[in-house]
Amino acid sequence: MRLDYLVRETGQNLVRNWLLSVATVLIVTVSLTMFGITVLLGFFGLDNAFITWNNDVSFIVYMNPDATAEQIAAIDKDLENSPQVDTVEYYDDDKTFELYQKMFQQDGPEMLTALEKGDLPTSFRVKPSNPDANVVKELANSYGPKTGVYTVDFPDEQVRQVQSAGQTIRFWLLLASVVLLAASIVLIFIAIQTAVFSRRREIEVMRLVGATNWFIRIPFLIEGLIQGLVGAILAVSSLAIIGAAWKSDGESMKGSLLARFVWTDDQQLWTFLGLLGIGAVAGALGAFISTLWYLRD
Amino acid sequence: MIKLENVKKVYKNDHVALRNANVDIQKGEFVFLVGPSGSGKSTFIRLLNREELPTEGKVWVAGKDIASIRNWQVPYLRRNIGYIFQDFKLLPNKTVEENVAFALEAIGRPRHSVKTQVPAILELVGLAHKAKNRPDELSGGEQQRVSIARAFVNRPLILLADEPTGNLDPNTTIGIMKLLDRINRTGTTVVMATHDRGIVDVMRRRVIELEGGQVVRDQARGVYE
Repeated sequence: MRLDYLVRETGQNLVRNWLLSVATVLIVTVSLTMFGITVLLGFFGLDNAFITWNNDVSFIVYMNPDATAEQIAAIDKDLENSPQVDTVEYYDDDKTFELYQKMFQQDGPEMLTALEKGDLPTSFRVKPSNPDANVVKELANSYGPKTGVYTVDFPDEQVRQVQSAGQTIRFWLLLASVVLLAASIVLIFIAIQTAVFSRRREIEVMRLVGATNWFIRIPFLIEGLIQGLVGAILAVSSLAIIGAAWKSDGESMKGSLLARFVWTDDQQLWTFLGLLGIGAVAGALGAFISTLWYLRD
Repeated sequence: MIKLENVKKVYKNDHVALRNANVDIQKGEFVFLVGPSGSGKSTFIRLLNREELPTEGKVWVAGKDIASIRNWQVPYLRRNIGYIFQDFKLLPNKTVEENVAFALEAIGRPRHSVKTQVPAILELVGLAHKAKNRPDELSGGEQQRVSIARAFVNRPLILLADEPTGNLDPNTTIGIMKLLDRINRTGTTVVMATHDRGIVDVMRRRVIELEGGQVVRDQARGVYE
């Protein structure tokens, strides 16, 4: 298929139904922007904000830096054998240092090189079988006086509430963006159906002169792909602006809980690439179903 | 080139459009299909282009049994067949040359081939000077010439024409028939459904008459009735 033909036919389709094209692009933009916010804030931001308290960890038993292997083993055995403990994970020197680097990666190289492996206390991260706050507190406190234990740490109630609310908001945002994305695919389907209808004379002529079905379909597929991709590009641009504004606001909110909702440049890059991919696939998918339906052999 | 063997076509509403049709058309023939409205002329033509499949019997076009070829092969069959309509079916938003070029582009012909073939065919149909005009700027006869140019630009083996002069005045009709005759002389088989008694009687070519879906007359150098 010639490129100039493809560009001309696809361009004509887009221009002829420009209002529907604009509507389609906008709904893709809105759904992907919402999806992007969910991923950046709801997943990466939330995980980064509560990096210590993820995976339902309710309290942490920090060991003394000079605790002996036997003392550590004794605490481990005690926790493992306790019927009130669901899971327990030991953070040795390597894992502790890795977590430290993750927590302070936004604070620059000085912070990351300030401490070395072995400088931080190792710890046990405990998920109790009963999440009730009083039960957890009582259980955790029972480890405070044990030999080799430096301290026992809990998340405060406010942190727990924000974390829980964050998870709920994340779920609803995700659901809303998936519904909107499905609506985008349906709208792309309708846009292509309209394009096929408005070009029915051309299609009739093409069929009669011997154009193959794929030859007829491809400009419509490209049209859907472009609508999806342009919507995704607009969503990524909006997110870049929203992200930059959020991060600069974060500077003024330093110390507050909200300032901890950050994500790395890598996470942002992969999210943006993912959104572009989803936009392109959603566009092509809507168009493919539509052409399969309305341009049958 | 074209062969119908005991062909019967029944539509979904049980209307029998063709029955027991046996026709053999050789390469390079010019054939008129005549008969009253509803006699089966359009069904005959639609079977040749594989827009319809026979309910019974066999239809061969350009050496192929149209019922046995797969759906994806149909476009390749149609590249051997040009189609001319009573209402021209030109694309109003394209110029004359774009309308003709579209037929070549739609089958993936390279640009240089389009560039040489389109002016040549417009010259043949006498419309080179109107290449940049749109269909609504042309007379009915000129529009039909564009339609013929589009159908013939790919040099098909067969040209099917369904009432091509139905919307034209007698003088314009003569011009169109001369053009079709010229195309036929290049070796292209022409099958034309018509109600136009005058042109059939003047041209004296093979006439196949249909009535109630049956071939009631097949006459070499025939007249309308």
